[in-house]
Amino acid sequence: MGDLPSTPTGATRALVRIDAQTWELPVTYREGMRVPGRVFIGERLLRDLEDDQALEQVANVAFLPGIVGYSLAMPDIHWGYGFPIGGVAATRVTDGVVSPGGVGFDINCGVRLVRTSLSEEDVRPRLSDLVAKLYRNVPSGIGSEGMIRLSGRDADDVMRTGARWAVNRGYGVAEDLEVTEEQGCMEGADPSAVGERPRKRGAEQIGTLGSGNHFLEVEAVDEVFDAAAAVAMGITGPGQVVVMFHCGSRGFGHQICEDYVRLISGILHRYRISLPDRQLACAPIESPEGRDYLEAMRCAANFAWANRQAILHATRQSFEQVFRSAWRNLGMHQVYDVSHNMAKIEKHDVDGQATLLCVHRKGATRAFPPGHPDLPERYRTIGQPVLIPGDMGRYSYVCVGGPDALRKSWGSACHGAGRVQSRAAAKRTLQGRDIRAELAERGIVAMARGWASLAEEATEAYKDVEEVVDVCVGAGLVRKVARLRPMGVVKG
Amino acid sequence: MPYRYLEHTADAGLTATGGTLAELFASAAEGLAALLCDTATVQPRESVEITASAPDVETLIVAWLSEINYRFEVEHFAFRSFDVHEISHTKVVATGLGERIDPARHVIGAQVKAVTYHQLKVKRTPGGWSARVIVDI
Repeated sequence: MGDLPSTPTGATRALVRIDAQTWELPVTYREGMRVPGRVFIGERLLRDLEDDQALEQVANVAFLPGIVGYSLAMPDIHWGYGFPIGGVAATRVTDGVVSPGGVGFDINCGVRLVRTSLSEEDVRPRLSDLVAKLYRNVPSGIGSEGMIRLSGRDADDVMRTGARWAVNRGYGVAEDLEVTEEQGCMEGADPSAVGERPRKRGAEQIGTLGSGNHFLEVEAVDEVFDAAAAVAMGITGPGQVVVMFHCGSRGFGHQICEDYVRLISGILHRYRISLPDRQLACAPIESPEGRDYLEAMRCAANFAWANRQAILHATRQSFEQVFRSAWRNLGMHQVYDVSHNMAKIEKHDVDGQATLLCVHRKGATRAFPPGHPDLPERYRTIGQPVLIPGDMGRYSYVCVGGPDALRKSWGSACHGAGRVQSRAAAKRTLQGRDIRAELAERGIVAMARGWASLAEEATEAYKDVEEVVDVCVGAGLVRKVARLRPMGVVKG
Repeated sequence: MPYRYLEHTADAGLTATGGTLAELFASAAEGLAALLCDTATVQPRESVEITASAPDVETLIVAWLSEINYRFEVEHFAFRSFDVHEISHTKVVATGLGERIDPARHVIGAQVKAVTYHQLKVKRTPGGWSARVIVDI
């Protein structure tokens, strides 16, 4: 045994080019695929896929009963477990399945963007102090509990009402909810579908960032591409300071996924489902297990929104402490909050028929175009904000849902840059280098628990997010609004 | 070393070996414990009982490692080593040695979201047993 299979799989050679940004993995690639695969990607990014299993995973997802259209992948596709990261799959509600692994362990992992009325010149002199405050007020987790401890009653409220629970506790205001996907609360969450273990894992984790690729960054607007959309978001122009953070449902969501993968993988025979990878375990959407999973998943989604709401509160407090002014005076309004690990029941056009689908987005952001009825009033004409972090040394993007997203990707786009190096490889590459000092030389103040957390997340470990975003723009999935560059970085 | 880490783009892979199934499970657990917290900084001051059960040996190793991750995250117990007392293909009973996490002394590593079934393998080898597991971090 030993190493994982990493030789070129043949999948890259089997791809058929459809247009400049679209490649198809034919349905005949492996027996058992129900639909073809479709990958939105450029030629150079495609080369990164030759060494890993991501395209095989696109083929595996095509085995899911009830899958409609294509097993899709966004340009930040990389090797995950079960689904590829960057994978999107829609299944018919009537006869399709839901796969907990197709949502992932970090249920409702997502990104939130907050603007300020401060400029880079205002913040630069106090940047170190600000980053230190944020690092302390937004703890990473293990060994440093959050500020809130959930009791049984509170926990049920968090599960049912999400970000609203946090706002009711004083961690934010109603306007924050208006600019959060689903207003920060998914209907159909049932705490009785959640066991004891997720509750215990989540009890001390509201208001915590977690580790891995989760982060909080103070950023400056670098360039604006779409002035009208930027104005609608309160983005005023280059030099404006904003805050972006990325995290999810912490141990609470991880444990829900774990519990349901275990449960469902043990009953596949009951529904006569056979799959090429155990981690894809799935159950019919209309089965008791499928329904229970979705109810529990929505509890975790709500937990994640409560978590990001509490982090927003801690962020505002940190700015208030450093700049000695109330957050409203600092113009700290939320721009948007998007989820990129979720299964949602949505109505889409399938062969001319409005059809209820369960859209799995595993490391893919919802990207609804202008005019979509689910968008908040203020973004109705520009489209849904799509927040796409890059890496801590380069830049991130703010986009909006594009004209072809509904037709091509069930209203989905990329969620980040995508890794190109494993964590171990990144640490080897960067051995002996003082990453923090290198970032500081470029004006970026970084705080992390240790050298390894910075090395694993270094620029070298990631694709260039600009290339990834350009593919999505070319495919009509998003339009660019602004580019942001990091000034201060907090890593778990 | 009875365990080593594998290259996986987003996550961490672990292979472990053991002359017996009990040794295999102890090695895999030490590999996971070392990801969670630098085991050199952990003293064997306390012991905790750990049991896991599952329908077959592959799902058992996932259940076993998941249990260790859960105890680390919820009980804040950092492990140094493991003593497997009883093992079959469907059940494991063991003692974990270590101590409560003290952020001042312990070097905490990655937070492991979960142990996955992706490319999971447990098999007999000429020298005993080997396993491959991928964890999500």
